[in-house]
Amino acid sequence: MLGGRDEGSEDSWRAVPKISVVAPPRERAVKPTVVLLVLVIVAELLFAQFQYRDYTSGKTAAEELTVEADDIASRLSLEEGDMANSETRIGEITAEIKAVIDGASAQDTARSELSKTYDELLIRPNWAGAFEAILLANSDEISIKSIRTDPSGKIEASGTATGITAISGLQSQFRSVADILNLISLQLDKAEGSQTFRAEIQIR
Amino acid sequence: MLDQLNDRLSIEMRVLAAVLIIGAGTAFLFQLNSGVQGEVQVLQDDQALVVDDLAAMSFEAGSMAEKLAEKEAELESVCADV
Repeated sequence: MLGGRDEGSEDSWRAVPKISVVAPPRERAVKPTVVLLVLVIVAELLFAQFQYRDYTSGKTAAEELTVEADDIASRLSLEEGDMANSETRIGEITAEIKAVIDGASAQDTARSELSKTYDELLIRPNWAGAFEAILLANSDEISIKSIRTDPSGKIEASGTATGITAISGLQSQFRSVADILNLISLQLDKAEGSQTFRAEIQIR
Repeated sequence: MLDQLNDRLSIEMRVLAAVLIIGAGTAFLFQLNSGVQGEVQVLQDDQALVVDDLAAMSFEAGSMAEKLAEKEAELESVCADV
């Protein structure tokens, strides 16, 4: 019954559940565990940021290095081409120099031989050959045994003439070529079946 | 079900889940960054070698050009002598 107090049930109000009108003490809104975990999250985020920054910068550097590597490779290729061209050109020039030197050497050899022959002709004129050719000697009747010449054109010839006809023929031969050969002396000696002669001639 | 799970998860568990997810992402990023840094290192080493080769080849090309000039001068001299 409301408003009244039952004497018999004096203690019955104690059985009524207590209703607290004061708010119970609240638990702490942020526990230390949560704070610690949040700090871990912050640290992770910072680390992730650094990693991302390194990643982006590394990627950029890798792209730049790739471009530079391509550039260097193309320059290397050009250098190799230039070197190959230079080697080829050096080989060509070396061959050209060798050809020129060989040609010059051959010319020098020919010139040397020509000069040598010319010098021999100047030093040792073939007077004997000329004498024989002019006199038409060394025939069956007249054979020349020795001829001695000197550079002044003096010729001493000795030989054998078979028969008087040959001796007179030799004299007439000297006369016929008197404009070339000047007979200075002619010495005749009798031999067995022939005559030896010794002539001294001066070439005009 | 997600609502039920959401109701049951305490704040600690939620933050821990965030820690794990962010940690996994960070680890993935670390691996990615390590790969890129290794690639950069390899490229730098290759570039150093190639630059050395290029320097050596440039020097060789210079000496060869000098040799070529000498040969051309020698050829001219030989031709003049002949």
